[in-house]
Amino acid sequence: METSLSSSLKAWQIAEKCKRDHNQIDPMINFFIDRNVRYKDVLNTHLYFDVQDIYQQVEKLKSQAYEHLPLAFVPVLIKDNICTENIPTTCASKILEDYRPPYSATVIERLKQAGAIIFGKLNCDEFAMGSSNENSAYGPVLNPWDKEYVPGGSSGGSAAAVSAGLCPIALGSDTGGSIRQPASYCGILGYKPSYGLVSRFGLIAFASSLDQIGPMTTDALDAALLSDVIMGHDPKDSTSLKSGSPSWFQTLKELKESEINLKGTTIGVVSEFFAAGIDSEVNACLQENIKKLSELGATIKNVSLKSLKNSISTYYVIATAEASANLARYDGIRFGFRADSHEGKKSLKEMYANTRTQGFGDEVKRRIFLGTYVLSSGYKDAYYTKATRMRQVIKDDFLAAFSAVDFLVGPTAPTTAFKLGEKNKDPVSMYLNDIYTIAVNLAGLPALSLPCGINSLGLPIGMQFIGKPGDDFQILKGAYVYEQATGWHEHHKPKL
Amino acid sequence: MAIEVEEVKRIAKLAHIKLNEDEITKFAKQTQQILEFFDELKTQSDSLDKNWRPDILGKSTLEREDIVIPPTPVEKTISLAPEKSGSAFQVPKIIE
Repeated sequence: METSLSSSLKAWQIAEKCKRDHNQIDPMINFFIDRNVRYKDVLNTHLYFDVQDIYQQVEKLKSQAYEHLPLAFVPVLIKDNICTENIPTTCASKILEDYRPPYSATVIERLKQAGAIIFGKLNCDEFAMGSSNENSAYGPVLNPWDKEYVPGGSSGGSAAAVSAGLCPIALGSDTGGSIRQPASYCGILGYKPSYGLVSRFGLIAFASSLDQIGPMTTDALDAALLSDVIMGHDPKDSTSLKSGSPSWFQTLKELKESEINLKGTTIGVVSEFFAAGIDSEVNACLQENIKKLSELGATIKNVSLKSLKNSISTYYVIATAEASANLARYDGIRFGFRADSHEGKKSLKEMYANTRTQGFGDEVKRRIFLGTYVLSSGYKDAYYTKATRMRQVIKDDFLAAFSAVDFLVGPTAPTTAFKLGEKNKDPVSMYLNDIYTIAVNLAGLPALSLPCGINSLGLPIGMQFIGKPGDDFQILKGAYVYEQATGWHEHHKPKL
Repeated sequence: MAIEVEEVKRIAKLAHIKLNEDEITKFAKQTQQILEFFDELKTQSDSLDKNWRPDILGKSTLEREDIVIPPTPVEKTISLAPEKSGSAFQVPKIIE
């Protein structure tokens, strides 16, 4: 199949074309450069983009043996909380405005070894704290489906860039839904791997026991391909699992026609996901899609996760506690922004406070403040210790549910994308938006969001699959089967 | 449970963050809303042992082999500092 230059090209198709005919390389790269130039400011997706840097990477790769590289010449965009050596990595914060890391994250090294071209760095919520991308120090990203709406967060730049066809694949990070919720709002596939499958070395820490890097793509095949490249044990991350790199792309590609169904798979419908608070159109769309999963051969079973109602409070205690410790390193001494010169009359402590006060945005300050509060003397047992216990209860609840089903299905978010400015004055309402995604991080499970419908305003709806710990392939295969059967993801794109 | 202005000031000091009067009022109000939300945790019971701790009973941390690898050069690390003097980070005077 000869596909001409198009923003709908998949990563594997781009790599195949460029490897088969080297005359395709420059037109391909230029096509994506033009597309980035055309839309990056319209959507405010990029925090770093340097055409010369792209050409240098391309020329370097051309001089090497690239015939066997899975991502040869594939443009990849990176969320700006993942370190790239000598390239600005700001976390969308003023405090890291001029920071150029002295090393690259393991995922970046692996992408380069696989032949990928790092096309630029993407906007996100400051330090990945937010659900709408409105917390960036560099302004909000706009949703390609309707620019009056948020793209979701915190990986809003990654979701908008893939949705708008600026690159076939991007990296995001997910601490409480930051890959899946923006994927849902922008109509793409966002996959948060099991905790420990992707190295966190070089991912700027927000809440270390919850953070995970993952693929944001247009379909399951590209998500599998990107996973094959970025996964595998990394001695630089002590929470990295001792497992080899998978070969999921090939496994999916080689499935026979008779295997592309859900026969023999039991899918659990979490009743708590469909309780009060869910938008009626999202609910109806999900019910329709659960029927489709059944038509594809799956056995559908209702399951209950009673502890889910406590997941938001548990999450926000643990996440803010870890954030307050992780962000203590921003003190204006070793790197990043500094408020006062050493020659001034200010004391060291005053310099710390001025640096942090001027360098951090409102939401980051709020979370550091909350985290400091829940860890402070007199409150730790009531909040932090209690939350770590609840976290175990939530984990046990999921494991009990998985004894009867292969994976779980539900919505990714209670609503579709909301309007810019609609929720950013009310932190609690913003936190409640994460109700369906955060328990997954608390339990370290794999989960993905894939596009499955459109509401009456023309905004995409996402369906979430949640897998057993370490059983990531099961949900990727589920997404692949759904895509092959419905073709939904190919027929619905934003009109830019 | 209401959070007092003095408590907001104490926590802000611990966190090395300065808040102006308006921010103190705003943080007190927002923190109270969020803490009311967190308070649901207090009423939850669990069947875990009372001495249960996630860091002891969870998966043990993997250890890597003790192999010497070249560290990031000092000059590279120091070059990132907003203020430096030779191979040292420069800070405001600590001892008078």
